[in-house]
Amino acid sequence: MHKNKTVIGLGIAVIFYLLGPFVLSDYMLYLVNLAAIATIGAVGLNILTGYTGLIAMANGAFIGVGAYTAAVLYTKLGVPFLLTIPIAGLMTAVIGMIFGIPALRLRGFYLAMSTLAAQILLMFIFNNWTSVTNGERGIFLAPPNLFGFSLVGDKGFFFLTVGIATLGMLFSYNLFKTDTGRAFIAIRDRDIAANIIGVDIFKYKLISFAISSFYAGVAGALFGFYMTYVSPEGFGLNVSIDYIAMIIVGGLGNLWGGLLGAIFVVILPEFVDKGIEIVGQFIPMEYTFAAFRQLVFGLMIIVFLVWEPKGLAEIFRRLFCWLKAKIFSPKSEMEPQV
Amino acid sequence: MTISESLLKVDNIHLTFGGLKAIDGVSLEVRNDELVSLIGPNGAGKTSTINCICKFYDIDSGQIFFHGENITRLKPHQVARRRISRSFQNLDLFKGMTVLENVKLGAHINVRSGILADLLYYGKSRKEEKELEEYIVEEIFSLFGLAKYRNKHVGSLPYGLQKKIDIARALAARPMLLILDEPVAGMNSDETKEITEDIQKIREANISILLIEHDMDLVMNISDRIYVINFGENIADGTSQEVTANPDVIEIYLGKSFEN
Amino acid sequence: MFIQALIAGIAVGSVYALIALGMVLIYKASSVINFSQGALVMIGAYITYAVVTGIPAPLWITIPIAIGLSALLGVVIERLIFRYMTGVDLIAVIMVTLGISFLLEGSTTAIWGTLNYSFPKILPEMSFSLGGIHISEVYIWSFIFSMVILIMFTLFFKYSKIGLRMRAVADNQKASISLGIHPGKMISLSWAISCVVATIGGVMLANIKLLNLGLSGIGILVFPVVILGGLDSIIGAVLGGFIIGILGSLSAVYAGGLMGGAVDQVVSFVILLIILLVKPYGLFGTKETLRL
Repeated sequence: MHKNKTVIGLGIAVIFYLLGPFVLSDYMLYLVNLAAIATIGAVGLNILTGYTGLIAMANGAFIGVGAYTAAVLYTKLGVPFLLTIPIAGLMTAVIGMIFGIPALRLRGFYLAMSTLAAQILLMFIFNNWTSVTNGERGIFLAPPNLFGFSLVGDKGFFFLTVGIATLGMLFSYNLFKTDTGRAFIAIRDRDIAANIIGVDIFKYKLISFAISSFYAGVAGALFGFYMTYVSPEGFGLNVSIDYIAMIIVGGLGNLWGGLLGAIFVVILPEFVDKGIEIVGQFIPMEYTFAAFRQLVFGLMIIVFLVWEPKGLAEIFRRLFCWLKAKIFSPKSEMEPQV
Repeated sequence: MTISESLLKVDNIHLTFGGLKAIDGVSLEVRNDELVSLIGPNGAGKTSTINCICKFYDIDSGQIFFHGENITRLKPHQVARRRISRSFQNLDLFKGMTVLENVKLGAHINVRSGILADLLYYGKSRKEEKELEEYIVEEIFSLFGLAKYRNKHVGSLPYGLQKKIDIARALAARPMLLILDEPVAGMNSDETKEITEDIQKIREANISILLIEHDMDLVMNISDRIYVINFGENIADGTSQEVTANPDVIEIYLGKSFEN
Repeated sequence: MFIQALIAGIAVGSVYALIALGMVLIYKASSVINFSQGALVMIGAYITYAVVTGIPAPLWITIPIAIGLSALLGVVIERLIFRYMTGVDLIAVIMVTLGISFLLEGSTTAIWGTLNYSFPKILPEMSFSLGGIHISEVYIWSFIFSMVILIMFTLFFKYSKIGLRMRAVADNQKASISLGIHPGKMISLSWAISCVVATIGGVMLANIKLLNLGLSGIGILVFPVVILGGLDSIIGAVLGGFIIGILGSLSAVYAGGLMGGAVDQVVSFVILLIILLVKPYGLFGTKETLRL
């Protein structure tokens, strides 16, 4: 029974993966691509913040490091496209570790502040190291070739972004089945006890920074190629905050949290725009989309945190339990899970 | 190994908190296969002493040796790697993990597979994880009767059970020295009896134990030797008979008999 | 040029000090780290603008109304949100204050749009010359206002009954309950005061610059200030405010051309990073102690 379900689930996923680009509209594909890239970044940030308990406010800039690394390697040094993605990940992992060093002494808010400084300093570098980054003008990227096919547009990228996002989630899932992942959670829950048990806290904090930044770097590289353009604007503090919002709304320290949060943050503006269009037909109002997006976004974050601090993942879990109880066996109890 | 071989040697350690003397020259020794108890009134410096051994506190002077090696300047995780494990007085379990995961992390120092293997969950990582689970279920859960709680989150379990998980976690590291900080505090007599039996079983596995406990029946029954400290200083040491006959100890505990 | 930059730095620094003060106050009362301080500054200025230009009455009527509305906003935020957020993770608290920020900024944009408004001159005209250097009157007024408010604060906490109660709550919530103090009320009050102070800061900034959405950007500069001064220290907030204000102003003048825009921000955060590595709890902050 259990195995059958897994097979069915996998089957649906594979069918979606293979047929997606041919069924979905270009606009839907665009949203899926953005959500997949955001998922990579959010799953990575969740490893650092959700599982290890280290608040990082520099995910936007780390994604930028990945995007710039890939863009410079690709346009200026002619490195093959597929190779630039892991290199971008590694480069960002190194930068992430460097900015993770203050974690040796700092915790909580103070560590968050040091990562905020990282965000500001990296943005400053993106803007001012013009010989490499082209400053505010940014770097344009020609569509890359993949196995002889020109990777252009939403269809082509679908396989890549969704594929890598799936791998990213799989790796994260594995990680928390094993010792490294447990050490992360132990540091989050009770770092002193973890240290006395034998966890080298500083080492594991740095590893967490490295893994999380690697994800950010990969997400950045994909984002750059997909947008065909890299400029500082895409990696500001607001992006970092969006990512924190994703993992909180999705579910901190939950594998599905990154995915659900990323989808939520990517499609929320679309819903708001649609909503305003509909309301605007009946009530004449002077509006700007941006204002209402921000307003609704803020409101949703507040409502979530006050009402369901465990996020969408918990809501979906309860929903599934409820559906299962309704459909399969009316008597089966809800499995309590924390 | 002979019984007289020294495992842990704490030599005249001092610890101050902002001018306040918490430990003022405590010395003690645990030999191979011994169960040594450290007793004394509240605030005598018992927990501070083991916090110094685990390097949670940096001592001001004195030295600590383990297996002949000077471990005075090591970091907490390095001390753990020397195979010194401990349980905690105020439960320090990891609330976000299940019972099994908590105990598995206890074996952290024995895990060899690297991060890349963990991300891929392939080869060594998978094999090691399976072996670890087998070891914990067969050797440790069976000892403490924890098997049926293995996938429960620790926060939801009763206090007595959490105490057991704490000891199980310390044991998972396969320690040479197990330090137990008030293992039966807050337990009823049945639970105390269970834990006492568990401690006996741990001894049978040739693990040396340093025990801090207020329950005098327990201490007197199972200790090979006892150290008594007060105001951060050694008062007496010896077998239970020797210690209970010591006039200084009687003086300390006569006034305290109401407390325990 | 140096003197002028220095004076501008002191003036801006006194505004930083005010805003940081609001943050320290909330932190002391409830351990909430408020990332929405910048948005509160902005919306406070807009509210004041709306009241002053909207109500045909003299300033001595309109300004208190604006102040009252700001205080109300603070109370509403505390009652509707933070009452329900006890015992949650730090990151949830931070994120909720960011959510408040978005909500306030979005609402402001929806109501007033993205235009620049020139703020009515509510401060009396005053021109000042020092050794041939002209000093803009808003600078002097900001400085005077900040100083007056800071002194009032110190007196309030030292001598008034409510001030003492707030300190009791900040020191030990449980103990203060047993003394019959309602911590919720005190925390509400800290939010109200914080919002009022932010509004005053916002009005002064809008007088120095223009009234627009960019005002909330000051929120981020509050962090270097409180890290430098110490998160739970009022005197630290004041001193930190001046130091960051002056350094920011000087670096903008002397290094601005060299490094492009936003130098003051970068310099402030480099200082923040150095402080974190050298003296993490700032000049006057209390060290966290770890217990086993």
